[in-house]
Amino acid sequence: MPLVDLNLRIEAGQIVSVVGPSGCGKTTLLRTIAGFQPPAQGNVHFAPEVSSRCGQLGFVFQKAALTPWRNAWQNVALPLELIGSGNSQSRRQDAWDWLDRVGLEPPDFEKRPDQLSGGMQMRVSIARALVTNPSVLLLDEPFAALDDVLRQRLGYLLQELWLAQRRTMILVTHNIQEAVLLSQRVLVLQDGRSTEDVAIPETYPRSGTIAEHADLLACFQQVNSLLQEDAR
Amino acid sequence: MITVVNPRVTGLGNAISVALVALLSLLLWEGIIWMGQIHPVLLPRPAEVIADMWQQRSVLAMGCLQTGWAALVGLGSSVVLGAAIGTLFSQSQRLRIGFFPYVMFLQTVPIIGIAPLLITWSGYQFRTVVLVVTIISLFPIINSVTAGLLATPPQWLDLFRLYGAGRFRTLYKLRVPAAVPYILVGIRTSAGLAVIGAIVGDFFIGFGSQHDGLGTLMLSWLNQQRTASLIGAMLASAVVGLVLYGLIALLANTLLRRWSLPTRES
Repeated sequence: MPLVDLNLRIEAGQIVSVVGPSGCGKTTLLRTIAGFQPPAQGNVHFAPEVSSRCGQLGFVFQKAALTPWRNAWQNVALPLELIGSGNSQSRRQDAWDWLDRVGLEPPDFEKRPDQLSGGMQMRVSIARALVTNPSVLLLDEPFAALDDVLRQRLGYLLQELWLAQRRTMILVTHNIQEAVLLSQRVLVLQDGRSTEDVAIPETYPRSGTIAEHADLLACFQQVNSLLQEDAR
Repeated sequence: MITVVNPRVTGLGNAISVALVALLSLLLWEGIIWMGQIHPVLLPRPAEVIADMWQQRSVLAMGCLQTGWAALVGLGSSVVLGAAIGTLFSQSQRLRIGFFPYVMFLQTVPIIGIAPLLITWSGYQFRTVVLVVTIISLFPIINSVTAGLLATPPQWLDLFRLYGAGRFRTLYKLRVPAAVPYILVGIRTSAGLAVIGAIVGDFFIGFGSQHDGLGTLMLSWLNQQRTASLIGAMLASAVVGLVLYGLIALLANTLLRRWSLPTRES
């Protein structure tokens, strides 16, 4: 889906969700920001400190996308290898630190992806995206294949990671609850256009479900009705 | 009701079934000769074949080694050559489009058609047999290496692009390891062809050494009308094929376990 007249400015340190029906251009937007596909027209600009070095962007793919011939920590260390950061010792240490931060236990560090559960694979994938200490983290429906409990837990992990370092995060998701619960802004996309930009009240940390936060519930209903309207 | 199957009993059961079929075949073989009054030159009795194989055991063993060695060396060179060609093909569409028809052509020319030329160029010797094996087993390797290197999942390629990995790095750190399951399938296909190539090559060329390969043995026993020995040589060539295939399958299973992909094509 091509993007049309999309004008979007994201401040450093913001966490923004992009929602919309399938085929509305959410993933295209994310892939364009990441530089995987060039825009047919227009530009993507980064603040000077973001564009200056490789590894300033992190990307979490759908379904983890771990390479099966590398174990968990080797997968996490891969970006460091590719950008030529540190030596093998320091890369291993960094990978282990990140795996620890995303909630894996040391015995799991040496396991191959197929020996890890879906939720753990996603944690490894998040650690891999963060290991280069990127200024911007892009997430393409990272939790779509997980069940509700895991989805909630990993959403909470993401929130913790954001609160700890306030790096810019852009999350593409189908799940409106998740979008509202995690972000400061929810962008509604329809047919490649941005139809609405909903600001979410700054109350952190947010836990549990949307029903436990009255102010968020109102936002949820607003986004939900926007999507319903668009669908009509 | 749930029946629990003990795998060891099943394994024993399978072995018994296989042995039973062998026994029945031998009985049928004996029966045909007994009923049809078939001349031993056409079909010798099983016992004669076994006795002959025992008598010729050192000749057969040497033949197996010669043929197996030729197949292995030829397969090895076709893996090296095929990997190089497949890698080039995967990196340039122009090369691929330009050369692929000729690779196909090499595949479609019957090996028997090429053998006389090879003899003219390379003589009646071991290296000519290896050449035959290489040519016959090259195509599946080129094909699987090219296909495997081009089949890298796009998400992994995106990941490498994100971190600025160049073409060469993407090739050896991503495309090659991702292609391993494909390449192993190619090698497995080629292993079967390599044994055929070694026997056919040997049949035409001979090894030019003091020990004869299975093909040379077959040719000389055919001329002497030694049917029992011919059957023995046929069984021996099957053993060579099985051993080579088994070696490759072992390698494949060991590697594929790391790749966490299904090790058996089902």
